[in-house]
Amino acid sequence: MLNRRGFLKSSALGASAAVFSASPLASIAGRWTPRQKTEKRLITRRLGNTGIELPVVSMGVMRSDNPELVRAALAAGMRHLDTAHSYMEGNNESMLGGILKDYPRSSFVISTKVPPMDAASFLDTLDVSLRRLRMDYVDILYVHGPSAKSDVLDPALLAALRSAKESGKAKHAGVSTHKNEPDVIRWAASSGVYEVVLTSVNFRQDHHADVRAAMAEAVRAGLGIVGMKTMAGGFYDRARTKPINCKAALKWVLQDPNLTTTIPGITSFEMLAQNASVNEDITLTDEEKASLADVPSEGGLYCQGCGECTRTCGRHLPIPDVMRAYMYTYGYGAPRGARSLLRDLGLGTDPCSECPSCTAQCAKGFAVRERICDVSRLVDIPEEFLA
Amino acid sequence: MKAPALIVVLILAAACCLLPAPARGQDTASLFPDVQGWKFAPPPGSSYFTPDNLWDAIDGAADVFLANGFIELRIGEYTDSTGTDVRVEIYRHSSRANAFGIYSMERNPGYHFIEIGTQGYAEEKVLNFLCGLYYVKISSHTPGPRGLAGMLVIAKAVESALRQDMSWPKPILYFPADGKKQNEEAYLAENFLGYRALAGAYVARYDSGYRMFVIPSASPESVRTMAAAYAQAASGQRVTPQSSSLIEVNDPHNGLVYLRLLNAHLIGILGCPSRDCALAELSLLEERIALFSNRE
Repeated sequence: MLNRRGFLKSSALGASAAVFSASPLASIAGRWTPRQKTEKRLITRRLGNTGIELPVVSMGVMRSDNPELVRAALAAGMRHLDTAHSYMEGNNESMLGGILKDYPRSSFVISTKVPPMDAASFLDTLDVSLRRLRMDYVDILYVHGPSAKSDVLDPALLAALRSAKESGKAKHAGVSTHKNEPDVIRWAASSGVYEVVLTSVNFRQDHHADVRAAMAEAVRAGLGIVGMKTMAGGFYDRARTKPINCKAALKWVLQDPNLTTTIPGITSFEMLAQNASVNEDITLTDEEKASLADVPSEGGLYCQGCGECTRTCGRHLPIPDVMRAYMYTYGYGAPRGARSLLRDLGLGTDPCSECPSCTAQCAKGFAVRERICDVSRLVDIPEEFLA
Repeated sequence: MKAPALIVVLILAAACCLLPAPARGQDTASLFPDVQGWKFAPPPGSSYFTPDNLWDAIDGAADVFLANGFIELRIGEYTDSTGTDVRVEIYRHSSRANAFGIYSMERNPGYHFIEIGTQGYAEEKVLNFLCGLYYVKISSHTPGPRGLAGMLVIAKAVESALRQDMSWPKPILYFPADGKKQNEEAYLAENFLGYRALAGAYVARYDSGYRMFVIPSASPESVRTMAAAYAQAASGQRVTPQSSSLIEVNDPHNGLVYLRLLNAHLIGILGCPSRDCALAELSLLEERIALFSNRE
């Protein structure tokens, strides 16, 4: 479906420079260069049947408006750059175009993404992206983020992908998914058109086993798998105060040989250096394993319903039911169902307000009060504003 | 395709006359006012997003919003009797600086800017504007002047409903105007120049090729800490920044960066051809900051 992010901007606008362009002094020799021309061998994997071989860590450019970071990533051996038509309203593609014109076309592998829309608009949108990127073709053209079978296997969209390949504007066709991933991966594998899947994959996914199984099936069918959201958002908590060990999280997903490469977003040279080091060694140390296992207060979304919380709650609230609403909201993306459940419980919008402190204890370490207060707000939100 | 300026001005003037009806209370719906001649409805699917599920709305573009203190997104759609459709996405951020940050990242100096909110621009089927804590993105499937007129009417109504302080974040006004590139100021909430040490930077570009920046901070001490951390990370320099001196950082990625401590501000310039040039430009910036400080 075409949404506002799919609207075309004129090529003149789209090709304009991003906010930051290269400093005239940017090439000055410096003390620190991120493993430039490293002597160490980078770990690479083949991307399905595409013939592309990539280091296991690549660069997601979506958050970066800094050309120097992209240059540094390429210098560090990251050959694959991932962007999308919609990122920064096109400024992201334009920035990359301004940089990559100075590099041999065969020295990098670029992917962009176009959202599902009618075939003609899809191809027109690809043309705008190519103008911004100042390229004749992209290496991988993804359909951006469909989660429904009707979108993934839309005959018109598949025809548009074939057309993009036949015209030489896209070397390979792919689909990106961060919702309903196992199904999307399997549909892609059955399509006969998609060659690459870009999927969410990380150590915090409740359904990781199914994602992993689907990835294996797709690889057996000849598809290549690229991973995103590998660091699970970078933080355990919504307030972004409990950071995840991102290097460990990155290594964790790469233990699966079916994952060809990953595209973590990189916005600092420190982050780049850390991610680049994973290209040389994906061994998970005991310390790193422990850091991923040690999640005392944010242990996922699934409440096992043991009832310990209700017993220890000063008001004996039906906390497992509220946790179920929390999971509906943040795990399933179904706030309407959560609201319905919460209204049935009749606890109001702030059931914890009468308690100066919380005595409820959770066997899994959930931040019980925080989650109750968070999700209970749904009660007052009009239904038409919820999915 | 750019809309002719005159048409935009005329339509904007007409839109201003169509003030919104009283907002629907103070709940979620109050952000989407009743507008005479238009029917409001939430879009099919979800119309409310938080940091946990923003990806469901805008895919990987969510990362940049999250880095800029995104709090929530609400979406609504209007249609009129002629079939003109207008979709409104209202992004609320944690501060005016953060809202400006994401707006500045997505705007392009080549766009056709219009007077709405703090600033906005209108293009074929798209009208985006900054409005205090909010970044509002409006679109329409209806092409041509009819779609543009519809977007402007709804945009003015939403602007009124939001009731925001429309002024620019103050540091934007600090930058000397002479030679400054228009509509290229930006705010980087984190990792300015690619370094964790530099957060919350306002930056402006100049015709002569250099960039000036201002990083407001909590105290002179925190500014000193920030400058020292950046110098260390970028060049290995161990410096003890003094407020009177010009700090020169040989940054391997960004070139020579000149810094100066100014009370609770870290100011700097890069791309300057010489130290004298840097001194002169930073002096102008200091004067402007002093001027605005004296007005408070």
